[in-house]
Amino acid sequence: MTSTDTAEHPEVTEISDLTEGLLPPSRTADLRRHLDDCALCADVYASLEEIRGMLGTLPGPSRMPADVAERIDAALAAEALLNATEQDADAAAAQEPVGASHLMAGESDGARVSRETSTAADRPAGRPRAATGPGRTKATRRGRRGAAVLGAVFTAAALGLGGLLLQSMGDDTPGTTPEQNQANSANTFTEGKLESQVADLLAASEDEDSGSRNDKSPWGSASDPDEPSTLKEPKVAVPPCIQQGIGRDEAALAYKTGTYKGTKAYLVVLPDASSATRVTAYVVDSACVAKSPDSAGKVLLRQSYELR
Amino acid sequence: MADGAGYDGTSDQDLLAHHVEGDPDAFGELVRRHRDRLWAVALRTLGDREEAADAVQDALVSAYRAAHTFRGQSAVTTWLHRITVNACLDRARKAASRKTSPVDDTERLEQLLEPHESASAPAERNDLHRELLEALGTLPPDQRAALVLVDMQGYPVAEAARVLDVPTGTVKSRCARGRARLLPLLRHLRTDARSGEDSKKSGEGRNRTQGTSVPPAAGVHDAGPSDSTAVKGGGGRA
Repeated sequence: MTSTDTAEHPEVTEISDLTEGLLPPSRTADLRRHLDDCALCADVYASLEEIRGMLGTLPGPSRMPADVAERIDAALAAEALLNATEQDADAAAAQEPVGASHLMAGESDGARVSRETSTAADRPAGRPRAATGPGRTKATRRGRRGAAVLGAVFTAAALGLGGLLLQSMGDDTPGTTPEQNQANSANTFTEGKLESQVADLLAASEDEDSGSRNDKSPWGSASDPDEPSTLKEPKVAVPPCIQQGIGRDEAALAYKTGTYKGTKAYLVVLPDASSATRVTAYVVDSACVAKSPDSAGKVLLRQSYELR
Repeated sequence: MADGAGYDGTSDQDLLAHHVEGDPDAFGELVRRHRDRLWAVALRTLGDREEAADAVQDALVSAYRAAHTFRGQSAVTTWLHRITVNACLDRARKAASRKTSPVDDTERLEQLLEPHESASAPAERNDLHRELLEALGTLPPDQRAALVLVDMQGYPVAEAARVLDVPTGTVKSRCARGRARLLPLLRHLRTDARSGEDSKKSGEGRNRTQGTSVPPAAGVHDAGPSDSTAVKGGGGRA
């Protein structure tokens, strides 16, 4: 073999593999012999080593820039806040035997799945999905603090309380005009109409149980489709503070949000304590939902009705 | 998050455990310890400041959430690097599907070289570094990540293998392929430097290259030995 025998020059990639010791021993020996004789290939070898050296001496970032560090701290602070919120919800849910399982399930399954950079599900343990920050997508370039609020909103939705709870949390301002509320009479609770509203609510709840879940979605009866239930099996999770206001810890037959005399309120229907054929409807001020879970909601109206 | 008080003697693993137990400052301390290195890896892998910031943030938020799943089979720093590199690779692959290279403008390349360079170093050296970074941006993400970890950041191959969750032979193979792809660039730069502005004479230079006798990057597009073959050979010579 001579140095001019160009037909036998090894590929650059093979020489590169040689530098990493990736070739089988016999091939390694062949190549080394060739390099001894072939200045051209020896130069390739040397150049590859030089590239390695250049990469190693390339000046680069030694510190994370302050703005990036701050942004990440903010994202983590938002995450901590979110966690605290979830824990509050969990703690509150723990006092409530029936609703608790719904909340926990939502938290662990729903809230974690749809992260932008999550990858294959078959990653080994200890290698979590590379999740994204709270409230991702196009908001990315615009600062993360606002995204934390959005994240909290998503989490609340995932907790199973859904948009109904958000309605009362999000714009829980006393300044809501009565006109606006009047416009949607189905969600305005009045003493005179309450009986028919309760009946509608229960009917809607039963409809959902029988399969037509999406038809009457404005209702707040958060029934689990996997748990067909009758009136004897209460199952609906009402925010804990509302339940405390009512003073009964059994789960509601159904509930919905609306307004009562201009105040945001929950209409909650429970079995009547004294009669199996009656239900009791409570209208409870929902202001407590946005506050500490310890404060009991104020009962604005209480009526008992015969089941039809 | 207050600045690092009182964690001096605490190991990374203990910090993570404290975090899982509810210590509100432990994770912040962990971040302070590792963020600079994670940043360097992310920035160099992605070649874009915003993308890198997003990737590191994603990774750290993810680690924050998943801390309870850490089993201690690797070091905490390895775990953090793994999550970060995965976030980077996800982004790099997405970027690759959008356009040819995420590294495509001079301003961004300048950012990658700061703060060391610019004024102090000779201009031609700056050019060389810039071109090298640019070429790095054209590599497949897997090769880029391996080169960033091993050649640029100086992690041992074994550690890079744990971070990338592949065998050491695969890391070596990716590095070798990556360097082979960068070779034509180096030759081009050398001849430029040697012959000044006269790049037409690029056939000459101290390479003693005779025209095109060594196929510059011809082998790059061939499959070559696959990663698994390389793994087998990996024991031959460390």
